[in-house]
Amino acid sequence: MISRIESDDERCIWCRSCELVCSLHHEGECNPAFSRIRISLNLFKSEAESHVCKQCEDPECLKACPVEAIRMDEENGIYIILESECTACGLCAEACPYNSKKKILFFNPARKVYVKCDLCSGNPQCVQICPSKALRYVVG
Amino acid sequence: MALYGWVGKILRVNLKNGRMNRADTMRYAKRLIGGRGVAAGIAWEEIPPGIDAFDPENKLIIMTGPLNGTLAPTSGGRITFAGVAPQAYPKPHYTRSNMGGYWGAELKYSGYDGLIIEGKASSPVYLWIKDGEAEIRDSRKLWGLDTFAAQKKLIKEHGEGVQTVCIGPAGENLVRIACVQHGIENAAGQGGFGAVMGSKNLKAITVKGSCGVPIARPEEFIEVCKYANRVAHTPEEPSEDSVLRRKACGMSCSLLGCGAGGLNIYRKVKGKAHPRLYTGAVQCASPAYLKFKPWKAGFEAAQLADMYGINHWEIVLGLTGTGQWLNKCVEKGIITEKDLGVPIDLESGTFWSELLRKIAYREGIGKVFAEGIPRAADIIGKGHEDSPHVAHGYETHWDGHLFGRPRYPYWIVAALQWAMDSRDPLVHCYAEEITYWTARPGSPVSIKQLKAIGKRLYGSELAVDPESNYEYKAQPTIWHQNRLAVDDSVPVCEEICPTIYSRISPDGFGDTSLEAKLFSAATGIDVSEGGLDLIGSRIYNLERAIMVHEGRTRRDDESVIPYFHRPDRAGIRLNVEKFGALMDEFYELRGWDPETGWPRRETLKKLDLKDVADELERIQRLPD
Repeated sequence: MISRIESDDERCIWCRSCELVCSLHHEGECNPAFSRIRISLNLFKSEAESHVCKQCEDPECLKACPVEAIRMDEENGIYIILESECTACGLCAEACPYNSKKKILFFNPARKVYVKCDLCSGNPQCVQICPSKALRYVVG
Repeated sequence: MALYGWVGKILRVNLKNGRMNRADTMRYAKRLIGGRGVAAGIAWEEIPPGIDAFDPENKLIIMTGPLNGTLAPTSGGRITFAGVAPQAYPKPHYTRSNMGGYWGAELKYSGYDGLIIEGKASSPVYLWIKDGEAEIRDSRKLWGLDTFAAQKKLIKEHGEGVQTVCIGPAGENLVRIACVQHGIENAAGQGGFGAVMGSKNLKAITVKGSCGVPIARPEEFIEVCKYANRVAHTPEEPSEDSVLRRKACGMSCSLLGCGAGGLNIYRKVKGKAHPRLYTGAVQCASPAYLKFKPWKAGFEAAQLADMYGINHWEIVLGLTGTGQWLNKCVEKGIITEKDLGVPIDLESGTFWSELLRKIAYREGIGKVFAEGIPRAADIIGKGHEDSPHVAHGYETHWDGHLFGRPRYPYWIVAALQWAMDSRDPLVHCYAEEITYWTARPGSPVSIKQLKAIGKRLYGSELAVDPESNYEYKAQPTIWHQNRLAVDDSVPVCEEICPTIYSRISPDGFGDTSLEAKLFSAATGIDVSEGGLDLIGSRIYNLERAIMVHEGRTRRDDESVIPYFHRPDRAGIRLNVEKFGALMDEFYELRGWDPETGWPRRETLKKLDLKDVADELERIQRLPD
């Protein structure tokens, strides 16, 4: 099995610290718009929904990539986007069946590549910061 | 030079002529950090002293600080609203109100550290800001809507993820206790800034952005934030499953077991006054509504207060609940069923739903209560002796009397803070965290540890000794005034900072340098705890200068005395003579003239406020 982040949205306390630590760790700034994990918060329904790469067994994004930039990182047992290979065509983001809101796999304008959760190379910061154990790191 | 923490610009919007321009945040932030500090800097320069809250010349200043929008625990959305406040009494004066939620963070992502709203629009408008671009838009279709409906409509208009602050009917109708509402249970409650928005014909401000907040030392900052989550004090250990019902009250509020309780969520509660389902929250003061009968009708009343945009504090700690003013007025026959226009049932949720509606629309008796309790008592001409009004237009708040917390001698510090402030002082740290919880079962620190904390922080055990009296009470007052000014400016929630005690440290000490650690790693400007407290003192003195410019003197400070002279629950009254001497001591320690209560030139000069001293001298309000 592949490593991944699992979420229990009922346990989410709505602090969105996962978004802040993700963007800070990867981009050096706190910016939910660049976070590879997102929390959709509907306050008026009192509902939270998390969006993060599910690390599919047979990923559509990988199959869609024309330059084979999406590869298995054997060391950490996850699929990652090799930024040096990415041509920013966006076919991966279109192919992902969970990405209709462009919150899981999306274009990063500063780096001019598509990005998604890379599990912080086996040390996911969002799981560490989550105060309510709504996020869990499942090692494959 | 690259800027970290701040995003660099404050947007100025003139609603009368539609003009906008951008001011450099650092012109103010270098001396005053952000939030409450920068708001005071702008108010000092721009708001004409003595102006009425509803005068178009009044400004609504909305400011974030360098930690807003960042991972710093509780800092994310915490934001200051400031200006001349209609709730202030006996006449409107400058003060501030603070709010959590998500809006303050999103404002920074939209590219601005703050907003200065000037003038009055000729017809209802709202402000829409996205990624640096701002637009004043027609809000006639939003006018009249409750705060939930208006926010939903703006989400529909501008898309998922936008954040809004807005007013309901109460703000539109210039109710002096109208709040600025955001989300389901965040509000800038105290001050009546909702009515200031109403007076400007400003229904809402909606923001969205993808500009980030750059952090100077990201990995160090992440570590400090994780450490802050561990070391921060909480009055109780949170239970594992509290997270299923209790939610954070805003962005980056990653602490469980907050003293204010977090948002208590209720879904699809059937209303009694209106046939509809309510989903929302209560927290801090508003769980008191659930004591009305049946509780579902009480919950409905709480939601209606949010939707009308009425300050909960005025209702549940003023009119009813702890304050009991209406209850006592009814008991004494000062207010009758005929005056109220509804059958009296003070324990009924539907009664309160109806009364809240009357206040929001200024109908019948609602017109009187819409003025806030001290003015309402003046209008009625009776009931002053039962009023929960402490001073400056604000009702009971951790003062040890109506509330019963904290106990004597600790409320002496609260009395001194109340005396000197422009609103109810946020005395939580000393009065709640330190001296209230310690006397209760399951206390996180012992009396022995508390005394050691008192010695280390304030210079003497007497500052926190339960057997002490008026000695050594000015020092903790000043320490907390300065620190709270810092915490409202960087900002960080005062429920967790200053972190004076901690459950995880063997000697009970927390870490009062937490703010300095967060600030330094975020901005790259290394500052010590003492350095920040000096800035806190500057902010506090600048606010005092604004008050002095408005005419404040020692006599106004003394207006707290009658309230504190009432017996507390143990029958103890303020000793007026000793309190007078304590005030003298306070003024001397502050470097203010004890006779007038005005700051001295050398005090202001030492705090890099020479320009402020010059202005006070010009208007002849600098002591000889």
